[in-house]
Amino acid sequence: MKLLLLETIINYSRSHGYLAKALLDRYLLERDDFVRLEEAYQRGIELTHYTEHLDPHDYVQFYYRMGIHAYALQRYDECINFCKIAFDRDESDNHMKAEALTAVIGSYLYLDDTTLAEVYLKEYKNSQFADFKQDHIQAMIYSKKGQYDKSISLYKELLHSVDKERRISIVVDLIEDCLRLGDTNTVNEIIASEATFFPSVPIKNPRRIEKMAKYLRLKGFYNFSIDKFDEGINHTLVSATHFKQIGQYKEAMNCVGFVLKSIEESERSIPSEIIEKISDICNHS
Amino acid sequence: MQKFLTLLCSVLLLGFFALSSDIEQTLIKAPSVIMSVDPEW
Repeated sequence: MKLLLLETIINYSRSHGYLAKALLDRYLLERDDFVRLEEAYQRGIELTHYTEHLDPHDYVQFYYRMGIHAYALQRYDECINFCKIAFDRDESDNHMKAEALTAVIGSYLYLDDTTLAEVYLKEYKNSQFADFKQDHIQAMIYSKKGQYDKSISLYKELLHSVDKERRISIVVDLIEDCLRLGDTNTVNEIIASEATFFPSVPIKNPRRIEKMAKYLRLKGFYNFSIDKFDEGINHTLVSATHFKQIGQYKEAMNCVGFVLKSIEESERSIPSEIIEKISDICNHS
Repeated sequence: MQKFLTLLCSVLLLGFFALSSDIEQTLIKAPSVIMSVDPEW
């Protein structure tokens, strides 16, 4: 009798959208805990079985967010699929749609489909919500095509026009292109001008945190190369804490491994504060 | 004196190139970054 009652309540909640709405609210809450990006994503996958019970606005918003979530986890095919589900039901021009379009373009670029990336870039440029990312993407396309003079020039232009909090992603892509050309002088200059692009407020975007981690790792490597050993250790370990912040434990451990190997090769002893920092990074809680 | 200066310049130049090469090697060895835009979360 009790079981029958519970099943009736569950069926009623499901058919009237209460269950879907509750799952959506839980997903949106959990999604902002970047350490558990993967778990929150799996919760989102559970919700895909009930999305037909969501109202049309919640439906498209959910799929846009899942698309961007998949992009943050580097699941590019899934990003494209989720965003397309939302595109099919959303003919309006809105902010979330524009952001989802950039994730789709980024995914196609990763999957080496420059043609489709350019098709969606055209659509993004037509949105009234398109921002500096259209130039960032254009520079990425130049880079993908091996036109590094054009990509580097556009990245540099962007660094003057974009607000400071968003520059870190452009800086890392610029450095990557400079390294491809073996232009370490420009890399040195960029690192020396860090005050002009280093974010001053905590980053609330997992993909941007990842870029920050990659910048710090690069800076750590750079310091090791010019014999600034202590700075090298510090920056590489700060990079590890950023990777840990978004649940990328493997990358974090790679940074710790690099530091330990460098200490071993230098035949120095490990200072206690470094042991403490490493212990903090390795502690999963 | 001239020999000493020549020797000193050679050592400095060699040191400079060795350092540049070190920087280049270490930076190029850094793991490759996947370029990406960061859509608003």
